Amino acid sequence: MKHGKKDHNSITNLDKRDMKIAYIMLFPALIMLTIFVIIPLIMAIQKSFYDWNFYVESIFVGFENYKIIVNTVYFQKAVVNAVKFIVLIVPLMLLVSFGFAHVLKNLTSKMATMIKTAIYIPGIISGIAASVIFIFVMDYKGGIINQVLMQLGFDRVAFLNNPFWASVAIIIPTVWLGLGGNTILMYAGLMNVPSEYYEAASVDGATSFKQLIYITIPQMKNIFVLMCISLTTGTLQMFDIPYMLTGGGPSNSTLTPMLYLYNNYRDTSKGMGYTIAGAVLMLIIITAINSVVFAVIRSEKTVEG
Amino acid sequence: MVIIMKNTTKTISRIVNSIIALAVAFIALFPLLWMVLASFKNKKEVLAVPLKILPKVWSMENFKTVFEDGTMAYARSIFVTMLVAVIAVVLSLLINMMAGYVFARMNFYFKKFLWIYCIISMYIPGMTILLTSYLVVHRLGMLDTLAVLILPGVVSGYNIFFFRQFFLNLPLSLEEAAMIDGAGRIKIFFRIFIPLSKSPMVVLGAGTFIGYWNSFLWPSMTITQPKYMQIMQIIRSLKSVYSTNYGAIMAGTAIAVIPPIVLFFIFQKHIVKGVVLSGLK
Repeated sequence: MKHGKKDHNSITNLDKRDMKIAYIMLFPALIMLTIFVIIPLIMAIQKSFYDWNFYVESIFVGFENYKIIVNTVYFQKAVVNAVKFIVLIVPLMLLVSFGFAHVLKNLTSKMATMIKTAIYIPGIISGIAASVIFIFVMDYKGGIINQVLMQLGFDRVAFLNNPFWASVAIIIPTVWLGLGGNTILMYAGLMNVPSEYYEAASVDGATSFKQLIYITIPQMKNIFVLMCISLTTGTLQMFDIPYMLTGGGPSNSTLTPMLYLYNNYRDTSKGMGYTIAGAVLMLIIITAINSVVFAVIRSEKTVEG
Repeated sequence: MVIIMKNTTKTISRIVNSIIALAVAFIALFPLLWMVLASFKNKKEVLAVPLKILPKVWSMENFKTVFEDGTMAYARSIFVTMLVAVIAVVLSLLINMMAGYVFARMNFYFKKFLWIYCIISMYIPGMTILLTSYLVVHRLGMLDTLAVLILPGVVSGYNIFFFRQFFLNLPLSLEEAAMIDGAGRIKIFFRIFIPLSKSPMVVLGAGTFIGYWNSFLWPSMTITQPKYMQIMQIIRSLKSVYSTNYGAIMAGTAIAVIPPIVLFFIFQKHIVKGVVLSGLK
């Protein structure tokens, strides 16, 4: 009974001669992955069960580190902040890129290409450089944003000194960096919706709002889900911008999980076990979120097959 | 009548949308423009109240300040970062392409297991293995070397996946003739596959370069000596070095964002396509 299956994956004599070459060509990739990804991963999981730091012998403590980390106020705060940023950034980015993709759709294709190029440029700039630019733009006295606000009759904003504005100050460059890439994706998705659907709908007298609800959004469901997931996992791992702009402050209102872990890593006097446990917890959370992508892709395949 | 009206609404909508699009593009590029303008302004103009849009005299002073910083830290870091990124791009293309080729075209024991082993790295967040990766390179004596900057990021499950996908779409007849002529796998890979892979090489090569150029977290953990400081580490310290001398800070930052932007302009068509492909994989 199993013969059929075996034949399918059978390895011929020719393959055997080639096999050595296959392993040789694969070797550099495998060895580097092992050293720089797999071993660190196994070490992280193992060390999350030990009480240790750079100078002291390890002691096995079971799940104690996990108990400590979930009860650490700063870690809790960092996770709450990450959720706050997700709730603010993900819908904002989806909405803006979806809306702007519609704007691009109404342009001539030449102009759409030009605009896409222009808005993608910030996306290749590093978070560190973007932060430096925004520190300058948001300067309390001479920064252009505050000067424009003054001209319009508003008060100056001390962006980095108050929890609310510090979050805003982090969200602005984050959206600035991500706008181009996400809009290009949304635009590609929008152009993939067959135009006959819209033509048929307009013949039936459907308003553009109805077309949006009944055609565009269902047709683009997958793109929304995939973008939602990647934006969520990306926001969970936010580091460069909060590190540069606020360092997690004021009063830890912009402390992110990544920033928390990084600060702990740098403090070699502390025990590392519970920090690593926090890092492993983040792995579990991110894997859980990513698995939604697999679920969507799988359901798609069943529909197609 | 109806047709004319429809055409007019269409024209009006196109004009309105063009205005919105141009406004958004302007806002998106404005911070960069403002940075460039600031880098030519003198100390008084740069934070002047009321605003000074253009510098009175276009001065190169700020660029001089940054490049002639006594220790040459800035110029050196530009050079070292460029070196690291270029070596990393070459290694990364070669290694990931070989792996992608093997998975696309060859049959061997444990193929499925090794495939999962390779692509699993896509789903492991950097923050989880940051500290233990540090411990590994520390134990290997790699701290403060070029190797520690280059090697850990070279192999990427995503790039292997992308190359395999590309090779799977190439027709088998491609290598069959060569194989009948007795060419080995390695020869086929270098003579036939690499020359055909320009477009994925451009997309992933540019992505790798930009990733290395922009990297900050890993260098900041593994490089402490000025010798190998990466450009983003230097950018990070500009604020503390030059305090409120924003002209110099902006000059330093402006130079540092040029290489990725130039690269983007050279390969923009490929890269924009790559963004779509990678997002919709």
